[in-house]
Amino acid sequence: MKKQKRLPGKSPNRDMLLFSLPALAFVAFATLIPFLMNLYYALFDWNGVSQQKNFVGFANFVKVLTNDRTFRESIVFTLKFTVLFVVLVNVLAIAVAYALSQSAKVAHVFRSFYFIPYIISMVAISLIWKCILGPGFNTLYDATGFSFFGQSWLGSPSLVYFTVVFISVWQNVGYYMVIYIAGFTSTPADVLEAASVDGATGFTRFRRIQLPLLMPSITICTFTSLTYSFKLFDIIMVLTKGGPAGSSTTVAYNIYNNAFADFSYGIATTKSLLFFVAVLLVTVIQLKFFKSREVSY
Amino acid sequence: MKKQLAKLACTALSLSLLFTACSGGGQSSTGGEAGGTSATGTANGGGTTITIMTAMAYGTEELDKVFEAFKDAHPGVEIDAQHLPNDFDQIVASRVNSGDIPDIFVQQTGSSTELYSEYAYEWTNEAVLSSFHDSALEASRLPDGRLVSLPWTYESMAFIINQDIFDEVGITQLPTTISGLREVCEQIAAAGYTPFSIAMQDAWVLAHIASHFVAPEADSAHEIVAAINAGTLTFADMGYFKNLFEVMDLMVEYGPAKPLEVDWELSENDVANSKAAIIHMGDWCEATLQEFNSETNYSFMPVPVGDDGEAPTFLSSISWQFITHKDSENLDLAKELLEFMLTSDIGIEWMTQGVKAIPSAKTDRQPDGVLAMSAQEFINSGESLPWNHTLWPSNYNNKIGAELQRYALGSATAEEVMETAMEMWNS
Repeated sequence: MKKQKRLPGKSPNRDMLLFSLPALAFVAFATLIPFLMNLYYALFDWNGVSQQKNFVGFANFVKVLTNDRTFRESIVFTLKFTVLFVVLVNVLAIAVAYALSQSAKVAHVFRSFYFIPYIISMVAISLIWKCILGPGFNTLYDATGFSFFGQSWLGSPSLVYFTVVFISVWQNVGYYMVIYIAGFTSTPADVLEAASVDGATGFTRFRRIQLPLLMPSITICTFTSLTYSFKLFDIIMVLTKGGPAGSSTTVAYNIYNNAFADFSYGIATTKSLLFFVAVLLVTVIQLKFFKSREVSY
Repeated sequence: MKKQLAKLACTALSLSLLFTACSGGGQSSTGGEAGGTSATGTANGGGTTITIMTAMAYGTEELDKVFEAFKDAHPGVEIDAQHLPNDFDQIVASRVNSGDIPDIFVQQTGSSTELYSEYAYEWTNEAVLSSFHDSALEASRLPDGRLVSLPWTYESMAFIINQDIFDEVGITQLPTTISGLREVCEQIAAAGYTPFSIAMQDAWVLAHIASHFVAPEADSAHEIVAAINAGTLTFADMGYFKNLFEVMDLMVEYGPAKPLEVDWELSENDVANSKAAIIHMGDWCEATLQEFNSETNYSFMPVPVGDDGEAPTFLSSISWQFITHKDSENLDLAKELLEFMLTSDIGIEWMTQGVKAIPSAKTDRQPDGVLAMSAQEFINSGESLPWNHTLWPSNYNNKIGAELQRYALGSATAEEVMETAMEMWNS
């Protein structure tokens, strides 16, 4: 990008600032001020209700980092979820997008099918899956005897992980598919043609030409799927309540519990601050890494 | 220069518009946005509006009649009531936190009420207290003896059994020991029914069950909790607490195939439709049970806590109580309304017929519920013990419940659960 030259006698910066003031005021009101207040509350021992707050300095940080088993467990679960979710949802979305980027009529129908779960609210989806995994699977088990249906997909700590990942992927794959389809269709036809002339077909063409050109889409999809999985909350709230035995508690759900169930507001704000820094770091590194892989032919 | 001024004026105008929009939105959003139902309209021009927040899921139509009667006697007064059975604690906390405190709101007895005590009007020396049962007032008091709320209804919990299954299997004598309970389970299983369907997915249900094994420690729940707080009593020290795990084993062994997937709704559905014989719940679920299947007969079964002849426990207490905001502009009116709700004839009718529960105010009226009626027998015969789990630390129910889920899954031993439970209490 070229730097724009300043025209003599004008001060575009001041105008820009002036016009962005309303927007800035909104951002300050909705994001910046709450964030600073968050910073402030993290220094207090406060139950979130009382008018009395005790200043404790960094004691909350020490407690959260050294003596909080549930927080540690929630970090492990969130990381486990993130790894599997980000990989699965992106690989599947690319596969589906590749298959459906041909302009056959049936492809259009399937695109809608894949996208529908994404427009249903997560709460409704969780309730539907609760029904399928509970009574639905029980009936199937009675009818078929397959042990797959007899497993307690929501009631066993090792299985609930896969259930949560599966439902999240199932819901979100359509959204990422749309971005990847846009990526595939914007691949220049002449490049593809040239590759064909050079003898690259099928998988080679996909691997060597289409995938590298898809990199901008991959960057954005990885970024959104990363932030989605870090902030995972609604499906946990409705489907598992963090259980059984706390095994599916995500960081966001743990923070929510601290603030609104334990009434430890100071601890909750401390955790959300630490969490914010961690998410920021990871996403910045991710963006840098993926951007460096983007190519143009 | 003129241009600059115009720009500034524009910006200022848009900013002011923005902020008025924000503040306007803030005021109007006090309505039923959170999913509650508004019993009456919003504020009218010059009149006074009393705001009420409850967590009630049923009996609200009868409560509306109480409000109508009050409004008839007080022209110009409006009552804005919100009933939020889901996420009530969170919504109240954020309302109070933001300074938008309802004139009257409910809280559970014990630590939840203590949390809001600084905002609550103190009733300790009010004349209206003579209308209430002493045991109800006792249950509502803070540890320091003050009374910052008025009690609502008695609620009782124990095992609830499907009487039809018990009759069919031929169990006439309810078990009083854990080994007796095991025999009953065997009989029921032999007859082809699932004996237990405990809502193990809901940590609070497991906490309720655990509280049965804490209760025999002393007649006063305050005394037990004070001893735990002081460090002189631990779960491992308690006479009956370790027997909880024996009963947990029974619930898993004689429970459904996926015990940790049963939530309160499924549990109540199972016992109502004779898919299971025993659940743990309280008389508050009678309305739901009736909804699932009105043909089935139920009764209470006190929870056996050991094999040494200790009486099985039946826990009865005031669960919910009403707090009046002491700095409310309409304090006098709010107090009057609350007294009217809890002690007037029409208020008593709401509690006995609508909620189907035993009112905490003295009355000759009988509750319109089989479970509440049977609870009244236990209470009157002195066989009931007060609740202790409401005095536990904030959110401890969910924490100990999660540990008990761990035990049910086989990933923690009884000793580990008792040890972690103590650590969590003190943290």
